[in-house]
Amino acid sequence: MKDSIYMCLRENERVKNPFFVVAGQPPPPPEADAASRFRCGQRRSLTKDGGALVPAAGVRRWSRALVWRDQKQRVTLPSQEGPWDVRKLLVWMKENLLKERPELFVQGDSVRPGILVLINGADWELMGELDYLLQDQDNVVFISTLHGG
Amino acid sequence: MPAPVLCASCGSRRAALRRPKTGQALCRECFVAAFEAEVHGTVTSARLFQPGETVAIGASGGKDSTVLAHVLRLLNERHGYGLRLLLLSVDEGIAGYRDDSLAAVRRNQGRLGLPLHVVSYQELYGWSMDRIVRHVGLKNNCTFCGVFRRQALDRGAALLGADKIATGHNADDIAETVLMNFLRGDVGRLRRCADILTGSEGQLPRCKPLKHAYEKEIVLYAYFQGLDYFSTECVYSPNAYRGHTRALLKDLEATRPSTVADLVHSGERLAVREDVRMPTQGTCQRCGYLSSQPLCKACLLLEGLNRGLPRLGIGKPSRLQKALLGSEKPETSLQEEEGPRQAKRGPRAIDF
Repeated sequence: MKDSIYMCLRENERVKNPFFVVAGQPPPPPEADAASRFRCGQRRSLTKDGGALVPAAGVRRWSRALVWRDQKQRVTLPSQEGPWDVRKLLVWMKENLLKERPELFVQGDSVRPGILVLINGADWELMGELDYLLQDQDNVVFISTLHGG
Repeated sequence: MPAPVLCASCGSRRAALRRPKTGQALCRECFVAAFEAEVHGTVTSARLFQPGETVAIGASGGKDSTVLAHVLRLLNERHGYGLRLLLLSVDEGIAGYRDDSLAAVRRNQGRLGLPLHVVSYQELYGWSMDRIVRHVGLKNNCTFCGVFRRQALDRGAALLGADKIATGHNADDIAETVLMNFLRGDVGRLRRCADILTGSEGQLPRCKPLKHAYEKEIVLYAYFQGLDYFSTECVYSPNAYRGHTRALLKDLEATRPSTVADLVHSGERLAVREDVRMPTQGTCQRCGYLSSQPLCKACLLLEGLNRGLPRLGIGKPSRLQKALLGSEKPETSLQEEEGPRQAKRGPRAIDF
């Protein structure tokens, strides 16, 4: 799809808070909890019982170029207190993904008017907009309408 | 997490969007069907097309024109409009923007199976937009682009033997235009900008089949149907006046989604007071194109570019402009007519 970011979020099912890592970034410092340990360059999905880490099939590196260039990105977000909602996701994106001119994407708390957000193929208006709580493997698509036709 | 909302139309599938126009939650399939049905309704109720006509679709490769081409071809087959459809593209000569969007048009042409013709500013006027911007600067260059494009579309369509031109203007575009003309006091345009079918003697009629479609719905239609379009802003657009009205409209739409349709509604019903002097339609003395002045805007702008006076024709005629036009030796008849006529006339509506 043109002009959109797909973000697939992977959740550590054993831990209440989702634990995510962005592929390609330096690895997080080693943590005491074995189930929440990731290594850079290898995407590992955790098994349901939270036992041995099982490497995910294949490693894909997505370009981290300017946001609106047909970018598809599989991201994992760092763990934090409390659940992730779209509001926090936008803050995270602004800090981590937007290389320049963040005001073209976010405005205040929300996205700039004219940017559509689809979560799992449905308009975010139907899901509670900023208050929607992100789930494992959610697909978030941002589509801009702010260009000539 | 709220329970998934069901489609209001079929009641069985999960809703994918809430239509801004009606507030209804619809699933993908029902939305696509509703969108196509509405465009068909617009076409039939306004009697836009006659069977056997050749329609040139202005295709820029962007979301609106891609959706327009797709939907028109679909409805033409489904409802038997009996039209011969063509794709007509204009190459303004903006590097990094137009060349990419034309590539998108070519891909669509292959997919839709419609003939494509491209006209370029370089061929028609001898000036590309990049070159114009170098001379004119970043403000007011959109005037050149818009004026030249209108003529380029007409010329291209006439070349192809088309009877009508269809453009992908959507409800948001028309709402912005109404606001823009209102803010700039352009009464002549205000009166006709919301018409679905425009054009008069000596000009190819133009129609806007997507006039009542919201931009958001067009984008979602393209997304759901997997249509390929080019989606980047023109490199010169951040300085355009329209950007201000667009920002205002988007903010208003966020609070009250029916704003867009209401503005279009207002625009359609605007009437000008009888004592207001409206520009009379004549023809350009140089190229014969429709014009309310002795020289059409395109000729005037081109004249300015060629003489190294890029501000000629921009904004209200200043004393400097009148002096320049008056002081230049009357080599051609156009100057003699321009000079005294400009002095006689009082302030004119801004003709952007």
